[in-house]
Amino acid sequence: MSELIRLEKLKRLYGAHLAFEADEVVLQPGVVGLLGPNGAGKSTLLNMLMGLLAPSAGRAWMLGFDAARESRKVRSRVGYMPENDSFVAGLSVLQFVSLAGELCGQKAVDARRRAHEVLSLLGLEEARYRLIEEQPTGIRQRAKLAQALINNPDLVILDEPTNGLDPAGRSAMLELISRLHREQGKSILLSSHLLGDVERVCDSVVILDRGRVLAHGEVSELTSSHPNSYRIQVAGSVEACGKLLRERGIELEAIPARAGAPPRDYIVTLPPWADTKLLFEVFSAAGGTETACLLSGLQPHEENLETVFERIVAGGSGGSADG
Amino acid sequence: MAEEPLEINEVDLLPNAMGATVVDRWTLSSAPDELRAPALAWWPVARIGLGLVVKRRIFKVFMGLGLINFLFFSAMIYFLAGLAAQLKGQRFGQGPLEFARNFIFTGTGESYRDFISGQNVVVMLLLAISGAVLVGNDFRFRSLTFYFSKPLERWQYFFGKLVATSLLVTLLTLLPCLALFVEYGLFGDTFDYFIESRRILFGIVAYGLLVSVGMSILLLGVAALLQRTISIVMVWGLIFIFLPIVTEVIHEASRGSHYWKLLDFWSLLQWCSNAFFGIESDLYSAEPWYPIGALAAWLGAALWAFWRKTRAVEVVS
Repeated sequence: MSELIRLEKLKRLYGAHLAFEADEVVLQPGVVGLLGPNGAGKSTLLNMLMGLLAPSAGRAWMLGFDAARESRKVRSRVGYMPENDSFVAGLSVLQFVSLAGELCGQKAVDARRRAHEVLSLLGLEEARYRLIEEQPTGIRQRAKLAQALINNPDLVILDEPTNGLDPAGRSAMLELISRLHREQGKSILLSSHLLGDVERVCDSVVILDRGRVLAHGEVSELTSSHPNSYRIQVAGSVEACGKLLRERGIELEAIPARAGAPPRDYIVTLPPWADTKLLFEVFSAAGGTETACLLSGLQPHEENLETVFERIVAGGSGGSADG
Repeated sequence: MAEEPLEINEVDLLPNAMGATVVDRWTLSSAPDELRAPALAWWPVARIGLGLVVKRRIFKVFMGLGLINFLFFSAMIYFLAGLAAQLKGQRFGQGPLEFARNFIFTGTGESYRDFISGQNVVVMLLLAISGAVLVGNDFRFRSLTFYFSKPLERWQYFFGKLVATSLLVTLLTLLPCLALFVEYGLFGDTFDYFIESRRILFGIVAYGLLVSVGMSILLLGVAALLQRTISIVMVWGLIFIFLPIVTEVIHEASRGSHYWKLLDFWSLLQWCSNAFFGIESDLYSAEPWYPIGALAAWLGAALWAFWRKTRAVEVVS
């Protein structure tokens, strides 16, 4: 399997409303997180990738198959775990998972054998003969994962897999997802609002907002710490000290604030030869001017996925960590 | 001096146990290579749908009701055949025997038509109760998201549900009617009945299939639209009880205009059954396209409703 997903000038419009647009995105096998606020286009992208929604323009390939033209093949090789409960009422957990296998083309006896294995793998041995709709959330979530794994898929799409789980259940589910990749070699596409979950299990991420791919790349590259770079909070007029900072070779980048508020947080990058003393010197000098500018906070610039996401979505700039 | 307690790690012991098989639950066997033909993806949908209805107590009640009707006719055919054999050659009793035979079961097209029409009442009640289990719950519990995320097309889902519902109806109409046909033929002096009654056999199969498929399509449309049992029962009652009464009243008030009867699904089925069995009827004799068109409109509307509701389902939402 060379490429997991490839999007080429993919676009989906609903009337005049742009639901999704991407020029060129290539994702390699691994655990990929799909991030974005509500209405970012995650569902539209997943529907197009599974061949359930025709693109308005462009093409998408999943596991080497054209998603629009070979939808059936795509769905045969992909396991999808939906966000909301979606069960066949009246079936036991085992019957439900077996049915998933049969729908993927397996014979009834094979599907049942495989369902037993998958349920054991997910620790559902005791719940297998109970009615699925009567099970607690944790078991229902695992049953949904089991039906996604029944056809031994190359790629498992997980839509908010930790929805409704308590902290222990959430942790167990994330561990399960990690093991699926590590020990079963499955690629995973994880769509979630919970950035902590994504950061914990994903190798790479795609960040979407308002139908556009704003960034994609390795999590480690997106969140890497920046040497000689600091996040500062500034009170007062920054124009005066901004000029002074630039004169001393310090780069200043504002972190956009939400809802049009003036920025208070900045990323400063010092020259290689300098340290934080230079920064204090500049602000001490600026503090004596009429347009006083006070340094009220200083931290090493180490971003986690949450701050990267906030910065990228607030900035709305496109790009990718891998170029 | 007390000895240190011995620590036993069961994981270390397991592989050394005699004949023990240590199962690593993280090792899955590969998924089977031999798969069912993609065109047969509807079969699990049909099997599961049928299974869900069959295991319900209400199904057994209605099957029992249908069976009572069948057993009554079957027993009468047996009883009259036995009586005829005993009275053979005797002048005494032939008159009352002929009267009873013509009154209870004549072996003509009308007999089989009336048997299926009688069973239709049980079918109507069974379908009204089963509609939510067969189709409605799939919408309510978002099963369609599950179905359509698999390599299953919408027409295959529809076909699976249609097969499940039609099989239920067939169990109550076509199959017992065929059994009566065979029984009646076997109790004759010769097998000529089977040869002479090919039109009747055609009528049984055609009418049985029309009832099975027609009522199933209607149910799929109604159940997809309404989803809950109580709503389905109400609309079902409207179609099969209220509309026939209203159209009959209007029919009488309009001095015998048949056009209002086109709204009555029962009346349309009755007309089709007459046509299949070759029974002469005044109803729409000059304009056969009217009932055919009306039946097509009923079924078309049900198909449209079903299609619209399933198309609106978003797998990823």
